[in-house]
Amino acid sequence: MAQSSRTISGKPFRVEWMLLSPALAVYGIIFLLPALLLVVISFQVNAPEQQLWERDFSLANYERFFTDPYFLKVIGKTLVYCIVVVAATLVVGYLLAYYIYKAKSYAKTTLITLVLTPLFSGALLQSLGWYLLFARYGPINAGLRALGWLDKPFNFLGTDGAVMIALVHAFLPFMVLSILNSLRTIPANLSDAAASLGAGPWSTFLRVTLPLTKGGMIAGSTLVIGLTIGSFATPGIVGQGKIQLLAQIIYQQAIQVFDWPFAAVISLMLLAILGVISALPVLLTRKSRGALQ
Amino acid sequence: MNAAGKALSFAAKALYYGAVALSFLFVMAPSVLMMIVAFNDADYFSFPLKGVSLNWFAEMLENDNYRGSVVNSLKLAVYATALSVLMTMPASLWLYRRTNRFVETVLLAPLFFPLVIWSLGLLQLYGMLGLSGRFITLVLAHAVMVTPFILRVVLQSLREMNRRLEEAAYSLGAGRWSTFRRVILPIIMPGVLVGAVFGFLISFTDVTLTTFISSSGSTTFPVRVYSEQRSEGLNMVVLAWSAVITFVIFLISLLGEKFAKWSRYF
Repeated sequence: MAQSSRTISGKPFRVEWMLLSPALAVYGIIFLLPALLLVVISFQVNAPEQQLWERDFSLANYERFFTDPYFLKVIGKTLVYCIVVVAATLVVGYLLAYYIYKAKSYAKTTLITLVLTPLFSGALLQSLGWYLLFARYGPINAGLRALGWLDKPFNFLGTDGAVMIALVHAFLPFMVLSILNSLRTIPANLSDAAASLGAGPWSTFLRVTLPLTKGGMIAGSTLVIGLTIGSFATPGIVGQGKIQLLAQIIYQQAIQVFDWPFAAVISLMLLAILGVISALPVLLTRKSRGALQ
Repeated sequence: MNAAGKALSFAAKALYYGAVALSFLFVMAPSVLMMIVAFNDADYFSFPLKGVSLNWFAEMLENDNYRGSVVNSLKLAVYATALSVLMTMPASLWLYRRTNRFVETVLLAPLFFPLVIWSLGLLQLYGMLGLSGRFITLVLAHAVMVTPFILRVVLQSLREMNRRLEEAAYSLGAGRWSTFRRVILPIIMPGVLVGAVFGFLISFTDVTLTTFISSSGSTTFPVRVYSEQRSEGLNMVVLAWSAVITFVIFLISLLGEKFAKWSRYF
């Protein structure tokens, strides 16, 4: 007994920290330092020819952000995208997750694979797929013309609708898996119990299953909001440069206009919005806290 | 149940199955289209196909430019995943022994932190250090990007492990290192493997992080296609590569789900 307690908690302090230090060192330099750097840069005047420590400090970038209606409009647009994408992924994601959850085990593997494939193929391949689907001479145009709903090819690329559909598709797998994994934690006999107490399938779903998967829905929504706010490649390809969301603006300001301080300000604002949104479910329902991990 | 009730429940069922079928069609549509169009017997994208041919797959192997960028992507993903596994394994052992929510949150943070913001700061840092454009900058950044995915799986494998096995090894006189190598490692190996495949795929398909920090010279396949698509459009060689990559990823997803049930790690 004495032996086992020594082995689990009685390690010398030094060795323990050595286990953690490689990861912490790399994170410190590659992850935390860049974030701090952005905060510093956001308070500086744009002077790319000067070294970081030589530049003057100013609040002008923040002032510009809050007084120029264009950037506030982009934020508003990005938030509208978030609401639409979260709502759509919740509905479609729940439907798919529930169907997969109820499916027989051999079908389950195949169905989950269908959900995992777009997730693992990444933003580029999937948005290329949508680019072709929405193209002037693509399948969607061909289908709509065959049905007689369109007389001449319509370019869906560069429209809000097309970008939203592509984003819903891109982030749907995260929602499905989030909800599916929370459905899996429900004890199987719970719905039998509800049925034996006289509940129909619909009321069992509404009053037993749905409330028990609230955690999964919140976790999935938080993830999808973060992904939508930061989405870069999908709006770029399906939006054809006509749809400007926050991430696109940041890229434009930094890489094309070379206004690094302003790009840093937009980034920090994006982060602030994300922070507030992620904190919302925790603040609203303290109980769901455990589900966010 | 009366006739009206039966009709209603039939309609509800039809609606449910119809919606499920449409949703699966929605999920699969882009991948399926990607796999079909590369067989087109034409020099451009068209739908329906003009004819079926394997020409573009032959062309794909001859075209050095794209093959080079695919090789770059593979190299980057392998190095980044290996580096990440090397730092994640000891870190997860530490987290398994002393549950520390703060450290765990920090290590998982890249998962929730928008890549655009992080890569913007990273590009500045690399510029200050005079490292811009080097391959190592991409490897380090990708290693951090994939670490949360690997960490979650490895940590879960450790937590599902029977603790008594480790204790038994110690009480039989095994040292710390040999306990790790001969008891812990074999048990968590499937988890490490699943995590590594996760990490590899995330790194291999990344556009955002790589677009920000890579120089125009040696880019990965996704970044190259992303920037070309905006300026020159798509060509059939790109579509052939995309078809092959999509198909391989489908196979990996299937194998991972069949043998490791890896969807549960999300």
